[in-house]
Amino acid sequence: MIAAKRPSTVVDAVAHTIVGQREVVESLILGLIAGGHILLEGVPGLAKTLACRALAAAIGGEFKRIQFTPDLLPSDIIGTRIFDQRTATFSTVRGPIFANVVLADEINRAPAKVQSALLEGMQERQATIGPESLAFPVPFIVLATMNPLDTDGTYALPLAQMDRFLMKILVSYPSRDEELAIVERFGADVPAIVRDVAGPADIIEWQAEARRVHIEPSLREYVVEIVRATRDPRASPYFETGASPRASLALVQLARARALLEGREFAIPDDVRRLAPAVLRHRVQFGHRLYADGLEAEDVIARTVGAVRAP
Amino acid sequence: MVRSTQPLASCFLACALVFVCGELRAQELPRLHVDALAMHADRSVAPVAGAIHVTIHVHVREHVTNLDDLVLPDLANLQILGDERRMHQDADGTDYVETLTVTGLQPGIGHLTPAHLDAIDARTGRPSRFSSNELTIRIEPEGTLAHRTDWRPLAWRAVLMAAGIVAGLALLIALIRMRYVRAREPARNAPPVAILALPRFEPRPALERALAGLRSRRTRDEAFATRFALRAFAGARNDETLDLLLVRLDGSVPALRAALRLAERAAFVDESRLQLGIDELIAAVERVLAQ
Repeated sequence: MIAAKRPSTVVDAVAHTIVGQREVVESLILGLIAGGHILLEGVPGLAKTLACRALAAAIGGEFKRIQFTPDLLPSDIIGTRIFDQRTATFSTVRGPIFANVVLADEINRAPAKVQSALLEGMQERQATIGPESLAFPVPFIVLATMNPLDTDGTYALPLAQMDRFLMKILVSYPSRDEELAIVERFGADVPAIVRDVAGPADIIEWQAEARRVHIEPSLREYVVEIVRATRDPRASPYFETGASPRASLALVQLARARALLEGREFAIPDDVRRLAPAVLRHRVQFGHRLYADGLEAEDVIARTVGAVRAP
Repeated sequence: MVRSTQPLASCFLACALVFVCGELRAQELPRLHVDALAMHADRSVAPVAGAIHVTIHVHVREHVTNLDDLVLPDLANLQILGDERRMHQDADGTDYVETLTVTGLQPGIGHLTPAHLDAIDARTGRPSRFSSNELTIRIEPEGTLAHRTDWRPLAWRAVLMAAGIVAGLALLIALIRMRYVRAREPARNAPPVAILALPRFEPRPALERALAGLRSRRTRDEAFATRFALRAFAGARNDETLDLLLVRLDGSVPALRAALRLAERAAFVDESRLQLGIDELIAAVERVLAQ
């Protein structure tokens, strides 16, 4: 069965609210279709939160925002049990993680214990509160933001935890024309958010369709070669730790999702090439040589991906 | 008397280790049809400090991205100035050309040992070493060559040129015969073949050949070969994916753009839609060639 509504309608709906940032908007939909979580990195004021809110509205899902702070506790995310004196029983109060779209704002501002609680939930898609194990609603996506500035007093996510995110998107400043459009469109009014262009059932159907997208064996080899290149000192001497096989799996999932978004029933090398930097950038570590040679991590990743011959 | 079995066990262990290492090494080797492995220099006599270009050419039938197991020749008393690698793929396989720029710092004779390539011979399935020919280069004291050319009469040059043409023809005949013999009984080691110059790649005839191949054998491999020929026809670089290529090509070639998209479809679509994809690709390439 093919869902009547197509993923591109959600992209258009979110793009109606967000000026520019087409890649960010598409990445949010791709993450949703691929069933993964997304890390967004960018300075404040680039409409990261608005994009997440617009995504939740477009798919008719529940949206929750958690502002991570140093004094946050795991129970503030997951939920807790409260004793009701009238009935003399405990009742479960679900935390904000029980939503379709969860925005973990400035995830690196909370200590490791809280980050772990969130990441565990992301992995398991359920949480245990007291004796009860409660499943999260479907679809479920966590969009975590990180501010690359003001890193004093933050708790950097370890590589093993970063690996849980399907992709990391860098949110950049809009172009001059885009910024002009933002001022014109939202100068006085509250941004208009388009609602319910698709429903949770459509997302579940798209996820199933994406799993059926054909990936030719030569393309699978291409994916593996790209990921392995980050572990091969001959390909690039700048990587200290390469990406894990989870990166290969993520790249295949996302290539399928992109093919579906573009209305294809098969993935092509472009899908892999376009998404590889977003899949790899948070899964690798660079050695001191990168800084000694005055290079940018993004350039090294792009060069490494570009050096692998596409089928 | 008690005889110790320790030396015997050590010996056995060492043998086993060598055997296992050999097996592991063999398993790592690429599986290749090596059609040619040749080495030639642009000059056999050079003055001291004069640049000599030594070219190693390998042709394999597979589409490979590297030939890590190719071992370059020992340059003896020559000094290396530069190393340039080129790789070209077409429907026939992959041509790998590595050009070493070397120079002699002392007068004398420089012997270049054969370049060799370790691979699993796809004809026999066995690990094999393919070797090229040897080369000998004479380094002469500075000024000697210039002096010689001064008195050499034009007639002598003409004789040399004629001899060169005859030798070239003889080599061509030998190559054709060698190919014929190889087709009859596959050899374990590909014989070294001296290639004087790489054939020039012509995109249009290559696309026509690929299209003919696709018409006669409607397989995914042929679809891939046609896609490759079409990309070459469009002037695609090795690192260009479809999106990048379409951005570079302007809108003045709509037929070519459509054909490139359909080539991608035919190459990567699933088996149930492959034949339809091939039909569309054939029609699109015909339109491109008709223009």
